[in-house]
Amino acid sequence: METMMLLIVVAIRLATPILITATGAMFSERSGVINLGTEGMMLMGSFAAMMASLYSGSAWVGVLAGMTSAMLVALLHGVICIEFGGNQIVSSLGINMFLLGFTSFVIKSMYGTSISVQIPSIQRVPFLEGLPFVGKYLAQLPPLTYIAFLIVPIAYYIMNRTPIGIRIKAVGDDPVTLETAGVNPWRYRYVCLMICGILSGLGGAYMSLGQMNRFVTNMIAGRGYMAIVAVKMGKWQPVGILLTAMLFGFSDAIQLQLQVSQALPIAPELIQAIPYLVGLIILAAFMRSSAAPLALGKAYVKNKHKT
Amino acid sequence: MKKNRFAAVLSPICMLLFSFLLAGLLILALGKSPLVAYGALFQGAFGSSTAWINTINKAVPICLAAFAVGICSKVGVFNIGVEGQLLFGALGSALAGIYITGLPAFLHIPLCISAGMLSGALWALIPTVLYIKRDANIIVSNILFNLVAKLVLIALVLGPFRGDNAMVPGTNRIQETAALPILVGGSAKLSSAVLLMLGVAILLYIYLNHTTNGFELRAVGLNHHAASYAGIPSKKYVFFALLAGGMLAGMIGAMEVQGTYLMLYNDFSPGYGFDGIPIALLAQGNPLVSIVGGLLFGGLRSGSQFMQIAVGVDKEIITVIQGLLVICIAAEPIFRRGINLAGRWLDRRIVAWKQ
Repeated sequence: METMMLLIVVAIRLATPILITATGAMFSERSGVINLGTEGMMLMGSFAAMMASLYSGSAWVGVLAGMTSAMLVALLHGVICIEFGGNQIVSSLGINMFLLGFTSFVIKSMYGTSISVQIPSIQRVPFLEGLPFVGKYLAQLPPLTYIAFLIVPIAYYIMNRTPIGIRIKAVGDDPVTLETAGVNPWRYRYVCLMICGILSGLGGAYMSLGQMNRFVTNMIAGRGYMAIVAVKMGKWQPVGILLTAMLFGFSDAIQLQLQVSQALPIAPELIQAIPYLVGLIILAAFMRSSAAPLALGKAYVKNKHKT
Repeated sequence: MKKNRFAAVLSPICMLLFSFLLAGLLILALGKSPLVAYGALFQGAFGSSTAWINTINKAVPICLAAFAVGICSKVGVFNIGVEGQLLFGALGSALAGIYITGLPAFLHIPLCISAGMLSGALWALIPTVLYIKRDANIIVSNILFNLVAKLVLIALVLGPFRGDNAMVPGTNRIQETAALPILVGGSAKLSSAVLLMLGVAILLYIYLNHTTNGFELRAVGLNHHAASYAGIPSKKYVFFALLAGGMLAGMIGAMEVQGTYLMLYNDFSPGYGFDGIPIALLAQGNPLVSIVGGLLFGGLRSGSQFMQIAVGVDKEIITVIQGLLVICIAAEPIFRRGINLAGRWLDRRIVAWKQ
């Protein structure tokens, strides 16, 4: 019982960054913009969160800084791809490469190593400890986890119960018709991409402030890509994404458990590969899907920019 | 027409300058002089004959990576899996080089290279089949495969294939007969890998531009609906190109093992597979143009170590420059527009001046 509960707590902790980022990426993909840059945006978020938390002394300022910085990166992606119709895949991979280099370069130039100093972090919610039975487990979850689980129903409501959600889906399927109907498709794409940036930044901030209390070079380690897999496997629906993110969280938790207990006589690196393999199997098994937005990855450029 | 060609040369140069400029601002912001840093970078890359040899040795894997990305881009697929494929290529070549004994060099060397190319292609096989048969997003699957390959290689090199010297995180040395001949000896050795790379470039260029197969392959990339309509088996060409990419990537691993290290370390590749991406994109898959880009990036890699030691600017700045360059490539419409506007402004100035 005790180990089971701990496994669940660890799984939720590990699922949180993927869940937050995937919910953001859902908005972006629903509006028709591919954003593989979630990896870089998370990295930027965790880096900026560390910096702001270090210099302001408040972890919440760090969270805000993480969200803002990643939003600015998303804006760059937007200007290139939404405004000028640049290649969305190339742009997002360039963003990942640049931000990996940028964060590593700055951290090494400032501290001489690839690990930052300890920073004020938010890893627990102490006031929940008073609750009977579950209190001591709930208190071990960072507050950002609770925010993540709040974001899911909000995203569900926006997507499925409001006109805004319908327009977001429409702009991802057929921007031409939407423009004919008098809606500005670019504004919707920009806003969705910014949401993706903000949430990726939050997911990144969770990594350096919630999961750990420092920044480490390349600390996202593929979680941004796993978030994209989660969006596709969750069929672009918040609930599906929640379930996929939890699956990733559990496979990651089991992987950690296996490494610590050394129950299996195989190399730790192979155990570390388990979550990626789960992602691959999911990709192979569930990929063919008619739920994908029809205009995903296709640029829709304003007339004045056509050359 | 002439103007278009002019813009086609001008915009990559603008992108390069812009990337170096922004990265220079970053160096400046962290309190070092970008001019001194870039000077050291250039000196470390092209300043002496030793530097040239190091640059060429680094350029060989990068050029091959650009070919591997390039041939896939010709069929319209973005191949980001080169990094994982080259790790497995190195494994195949190293195993054939260590455990096969008693062969003469003229058989052992090609055997090991083939083993490397084959294992690179095998590692590319699963994402390729998933992409063709099940339409699985090949970018995401290749990224996951890269991550898995890295972990698997560490597990194998530090596990079952670990060498006798416990101080070295790698395998035993390969047999003498599997090592590529050295062209220029001395403190910096130039291996004959560079000749093989040039041979591959020429073959690839002829294949793509002067054979019917190559023409059909490019037709698939330009418009696969039209190609299918014209009776070209487009899926077959996509399959072939992706596996050929895997083979070229596997060859990178073989060259590094047989030409440079003569053994397999757990992290021998500083990301050659990713270096190939911007080059292939800028050269639009042309292997001969890619060599120029490969030399430049090889220079960045070899010069960056000198720069880090000489002026204390961390060599991660290379990743910054490359990332900026890839972003610039995506922002190509913006650059084209900028160049057009500048051109028009210049035209008007000239006309005004003539009057």
